[in-house]
Amino acid sequence: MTTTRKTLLGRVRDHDDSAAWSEFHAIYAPLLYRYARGRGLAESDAEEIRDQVLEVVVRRMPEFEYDRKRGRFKAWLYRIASGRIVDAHRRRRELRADSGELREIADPAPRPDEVWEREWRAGHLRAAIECARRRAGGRDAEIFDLLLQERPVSEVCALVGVNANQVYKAKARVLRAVRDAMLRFDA
Amino acid sequence: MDHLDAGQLERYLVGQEPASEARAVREHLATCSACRHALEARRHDADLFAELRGAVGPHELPGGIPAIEGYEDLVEVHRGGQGVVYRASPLGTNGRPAKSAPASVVAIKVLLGGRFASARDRFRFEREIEVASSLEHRNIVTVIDSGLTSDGHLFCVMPFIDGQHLDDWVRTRDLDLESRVSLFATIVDSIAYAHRHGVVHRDLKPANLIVDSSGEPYVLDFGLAMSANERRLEAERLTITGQFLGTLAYAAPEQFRATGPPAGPASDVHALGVCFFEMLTGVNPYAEPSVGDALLRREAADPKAHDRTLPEDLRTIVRTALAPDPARRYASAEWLARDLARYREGRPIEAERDSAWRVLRATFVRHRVPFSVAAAFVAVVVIGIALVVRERIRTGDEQRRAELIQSVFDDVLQATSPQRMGAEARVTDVLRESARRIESTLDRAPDAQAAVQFTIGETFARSMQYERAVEPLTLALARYREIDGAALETARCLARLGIVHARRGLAEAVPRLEEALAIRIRELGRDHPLVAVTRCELGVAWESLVEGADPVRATRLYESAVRALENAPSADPRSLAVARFHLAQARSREGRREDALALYREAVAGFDVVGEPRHDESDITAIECLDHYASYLRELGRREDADASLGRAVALARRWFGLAAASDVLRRLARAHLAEDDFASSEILGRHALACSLDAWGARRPHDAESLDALARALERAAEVPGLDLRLRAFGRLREFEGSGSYELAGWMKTTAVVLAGLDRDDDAEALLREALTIHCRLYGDDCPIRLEAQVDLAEARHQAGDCDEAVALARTVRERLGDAPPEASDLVTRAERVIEACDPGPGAAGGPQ
Repeated sequence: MTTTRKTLLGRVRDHDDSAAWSEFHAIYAPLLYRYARGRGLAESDAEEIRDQVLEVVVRRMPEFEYDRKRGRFKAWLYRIASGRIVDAHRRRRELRADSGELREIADPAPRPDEVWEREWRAGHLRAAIECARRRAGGRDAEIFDLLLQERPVSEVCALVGVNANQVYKAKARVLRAVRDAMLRFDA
Repeated sequence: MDHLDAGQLERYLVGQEPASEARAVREHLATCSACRHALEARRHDADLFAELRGAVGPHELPGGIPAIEGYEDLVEVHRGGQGVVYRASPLGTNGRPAKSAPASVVAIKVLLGGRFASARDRFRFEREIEVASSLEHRNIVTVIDSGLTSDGHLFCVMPFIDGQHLDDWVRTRDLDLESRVSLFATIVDSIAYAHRHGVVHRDLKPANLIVDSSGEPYVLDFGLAMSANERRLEAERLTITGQFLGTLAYAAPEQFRATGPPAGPASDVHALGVCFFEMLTGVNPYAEPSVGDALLRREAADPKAHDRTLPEDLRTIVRTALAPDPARRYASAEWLARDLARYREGRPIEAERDSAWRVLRATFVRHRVPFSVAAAFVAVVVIGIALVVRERIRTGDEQRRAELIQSVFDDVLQATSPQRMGAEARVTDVLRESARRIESTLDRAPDAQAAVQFTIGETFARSMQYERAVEPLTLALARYREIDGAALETARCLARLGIVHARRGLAEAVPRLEEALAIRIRELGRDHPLVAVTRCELGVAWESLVEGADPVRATRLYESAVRALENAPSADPRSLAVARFHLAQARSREGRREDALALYREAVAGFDVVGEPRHDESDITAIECLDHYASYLRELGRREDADASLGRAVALARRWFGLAAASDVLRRLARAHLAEDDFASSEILGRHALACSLDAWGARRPHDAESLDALARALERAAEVPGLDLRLRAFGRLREFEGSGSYELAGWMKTTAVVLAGLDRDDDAEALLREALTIHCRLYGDDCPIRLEAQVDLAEARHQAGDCDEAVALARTVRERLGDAPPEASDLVTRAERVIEACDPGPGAAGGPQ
């Protein structure tokens, strides 16, 4: 792998690449927040969890062996995050040994894996769109946003003042950039 | 035509090209590889774009089509809810060779959603393909190749059949009733063959039923319907109306439910019923396309309303096949095939007669956990209905019998009224009371008596209350023995009793099953599947004897059962799976790992396809089988497959098996995972186990403590979470229930002490160790290694705490008691000596603890 194509996680592991860290933060902070919310935490608790987990990750990332095997980082992060969330649920309820609380431990809503899988993919895709927007620039980004809002092509043409073929080409360009970003995230 | 521009490609892709354009585009694509590539790129784009829209908005859309290595000249022939079908030619030499003799033209189906399918889904897909491709039936078109496309979509390849869809074929010909029934019967036979082999189609519809020019029908797409992500596709079908209504018209109500059992053989029966309805009347049984909740409520029309001349039996067959409740339908295509055969031979069909028994069974098994008195009444009344129906068929004196039975049930209803039995009455109480009444009032109708007693015993046995099952089964057996010509009933009763005894490890199991086996061989012949099933049960009995178990004999019986069932075309796939499972365990014990693995795999496939529980022992076996299979896969390093198998076990355990038992099973699985250092899975399973305990008992029983502990250990090992704390709480919960102190509690004390020591709470840890030692002293003799081990534990703790005097005193006693240490205790001696050495003791008094 060449330096320019080096994945985000690879760069983050080196720990000296501040741009990489800020990008890392831009992806995983919202992802972790949404995951925590998806598992039933209130806003403030979810923010706390997000910060705690990111702190653990920053601290332990250098020692984390990122061996290019897809999914390992994902599983690692999940383990950290879901553990903190159990912890948070427990703290919120204090140690009342009623079934309600045991139930929460038993089954953090709705299902750990599904929420995680969904937020993992969606979080990366959202970050990738952001990257692609930045790279594609004004008109392409505008066209792409309109398409994402499910505006018909004819309407997009009228709004932006281009023809249908240009719309399709703009879409293809942004999508290519999204793909590149996803590759870089290794997601 | 020049190359297609972006607009044309896009419009083609979404199917919105004007008719004038469509043909030209298609023709151009057929000849221009550059444009085909461009189209593929667009498809990838559409795929990704749909996903992006899902990530930023509320919708998720399917899409995407890749190139497929080994095949060329792909021409799209169909686009549907699950994927796109192409006609293609296999590459002769360059490409990857197809698994069997390559057909000159093939159909390739690329499944949507494949790329995002989880490992579990993929595992299931591959296994289903494997199972489906093992079908060898002239009317079934099977998969000859399958795999993942370059971008990860699942695809499969089948021979291309040139013919018409079933509905078109029938519509364009003027067939008489007999020919239509005959054509349908051929299709049903092929599905029955598949069901016998444990394969469910799940997406039968005219588009999957092709009739060639000679009138021979073929069933397509076996094993594909469960592919990719079924739930997701199902949801999409519901949201994307219009396009998929064609498929919806054939799906059974249970296939629309987001929860509950997935489609099983009965769902295929439903689809066949719709097809048959259409063949007979030319219209769909469901008035108009409906979506959403309406699907669950819709009712099939009466075929007679469309064709007054339709024979009554055919009407019954159609209606039975289309029953909204799968329990009232033919259980599999096999039964439908049998009734069709009966109809064609002019014999009475079974549908009518069987329905009451089906309901009866379903009612009972659904309530194997205690349920309300009201529900118990329903069950009792249903017994009544069932008996009346049964007796009407059996006896000439219809009126008298009906009256007699009616009076019995009036009596039973009165005896089991809520006033008498109290609001807390449970089905078991009601059944017991019913049994007593039946015994005393039905004395002139031994057959009815026997049937009722058997049902009651069976209900107990299936709810694993084996002791309670013995009495009614014994009564039923006595009655059956008195009735001439009830040899098979007698055998059934004997077999059931034998199984009940076998579960309790009792030696009586063997003679009962041997007698059942002898009767069944005499009545049915050696090759009958039921004989093989009895052999298998006898094997289990030999194996589970508390005294005098004979695993070698058991293995021989399993071997013979598997052989016989494999060769019996009408054998129930579940029976074969059970037999294979037992044989797999035997092979595993013998160290024949390859054989064991293959048997497990086959058994899993056999269990799995029949998506609904049987509410008998084979359900447990199915879960155990998935578990064992998972362990084998794990040992082979196939972790993903192993996890998929476990995931399936969790789902099945919960759904089939009742919460309480599911909790036990899941806890066991959680521990197995922990031993494998697989904390994530262990954690999830631990949570499932805890959830099951809570659902089953609430927070009132020690069970949740055990589940909590299983979970806690997983969390603790995963290091990132408060596992230690959870374990302390688990111990606290257990202690609430185990007042006086059992061996088990002492064991928990010891492990909890380790936890406390880890939390630097040494004093608490030591207090627990002392308490554990006290319990052990009460329970065991002076020389018992268990007790001495507790002593060493405490000695080590005292040493840690700096109290060398007591540490040495304790350690010395251990060393003395174990003077001639048995090998298993040598470790204790070593530990004791280590304490003594570490303390470098002066001449101290040796003495016992306490």
